[in-house]
Amino acid sequence: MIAEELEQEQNSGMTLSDKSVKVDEPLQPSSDRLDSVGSRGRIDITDLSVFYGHLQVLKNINLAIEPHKITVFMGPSGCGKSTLIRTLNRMNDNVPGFHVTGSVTIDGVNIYSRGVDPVLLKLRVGMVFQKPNPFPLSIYDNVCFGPKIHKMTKSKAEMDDVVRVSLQKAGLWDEIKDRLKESALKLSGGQQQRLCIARAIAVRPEILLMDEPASALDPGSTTRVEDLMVDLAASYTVVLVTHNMQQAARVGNKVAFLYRGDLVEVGQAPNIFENPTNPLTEKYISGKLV
Amino acid sequence: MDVGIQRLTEILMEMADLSERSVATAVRAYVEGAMNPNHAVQVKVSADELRDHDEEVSELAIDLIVSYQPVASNLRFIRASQEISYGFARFGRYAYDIMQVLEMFGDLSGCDHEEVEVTAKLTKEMIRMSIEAFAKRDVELANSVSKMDDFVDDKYRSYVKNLISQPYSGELRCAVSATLILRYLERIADHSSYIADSVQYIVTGLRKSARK
Repeated sequence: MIAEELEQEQNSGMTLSDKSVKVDEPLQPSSDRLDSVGSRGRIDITDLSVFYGHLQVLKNINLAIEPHKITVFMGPSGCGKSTLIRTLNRMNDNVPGFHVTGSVTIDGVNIYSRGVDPVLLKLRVGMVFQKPNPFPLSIYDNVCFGPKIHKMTKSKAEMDDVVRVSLQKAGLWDEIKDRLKESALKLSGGQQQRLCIARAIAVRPEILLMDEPASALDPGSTTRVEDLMVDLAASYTVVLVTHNMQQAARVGNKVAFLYRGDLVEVGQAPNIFENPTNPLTEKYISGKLV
Repeated sequence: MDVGIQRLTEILMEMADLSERSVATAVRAYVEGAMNPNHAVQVKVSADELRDHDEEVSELAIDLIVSYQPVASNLRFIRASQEISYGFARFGRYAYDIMQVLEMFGDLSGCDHEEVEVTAKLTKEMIRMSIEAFAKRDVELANSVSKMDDFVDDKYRSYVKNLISQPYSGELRCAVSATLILRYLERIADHSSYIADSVQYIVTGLRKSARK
């Protein structure tokens, strides 16, 4: 496998080798219609500690992530927020020495239990990354990539429907509906990021993990992606990692502040930014934590 | 940000001093019964200065919000500074209004000043306490100011009720001027109480409704 493909695998949250994994675990892909609003997607993190070998990067985290809300992880570089978000769909599994104690449950199922297939998990828990990473394929093929691999449609018409609805939900359809066969790489950065969101949506996840999805975008594209996050929260549980506190305040329902692997404070976004209870949180959001 | 916050604090303390002196001057003029033209000018100038400072505070606050997008205690201070500044500007305006009463009614030295004197003493104390609470970020002192507000309200209401419930034997202009001034003092007390609320918000992060 060429290096580029490997990188795309990692960044897309799905692996080309996932195609061969047998699917018979308790976590099943959502059978809801693509445009439906489900009530699933609750994440409960209990006593979660994460280690890379002997290095403990998350310490006894307890956090409830509610369905159809935007939960923001914030904290200084190295605090463990990216590790935490990647732990929610087992993207760290292949990192040497990675292991967890405690549990992460999605709708009551511990995703680290033996019976859970990481491939199916990634169908339910999609990921969008900092840097837009469209595959070097057409716009259409980018969106249908996941559904095709997982044989989620039975006809071309059904696949067309999946692509259209996914692009509509990502707020991109009107801009590119006449260019579906064009290379995705011709799109602007902001459009590419929304395409990646459409690609993540296409496999009918219940949860969307977004790791600094707007940090590489210009202000206009950032606004569009933020608006999109808010719209998406009506249908999906959204977990966002961001360094941008104004973005966290604008879109977040709940904000969790992490520092050196500890979950320092969790609260409703307006409370965290107006009246944090922990002095460390205040220092961080005021730019005084060095 | 820190420089901006410091500047806001300086302006507010300057306003505190100016507004406190202005109210004291106006009340003294009433108690003495006659208006000193120099004092009238001084109170008018102070009211204008306070209004200018209030605008300055608003502009600086907006500038800090736009430039630094403050959060937490800085955000609370900036938000509260606008409320506090408005309170001080209102002190200046009510002091001017008291002077206007003196100008309108002329010599009031023959009137009974007791009700106004008692209420004015309380009100000035509330101003002093609210300023001190702000300067020291003293929540307990701020809480005391809020409690005193009810007493000033009662003084004003009971004076008016007495006036309208029984025949008044004194001069009408004494009753009307005292009523107007008591009303202004009652409003000054209200704004002292608002300033005290803002101090509590700065320190605790909780608005009055949330503290109840």
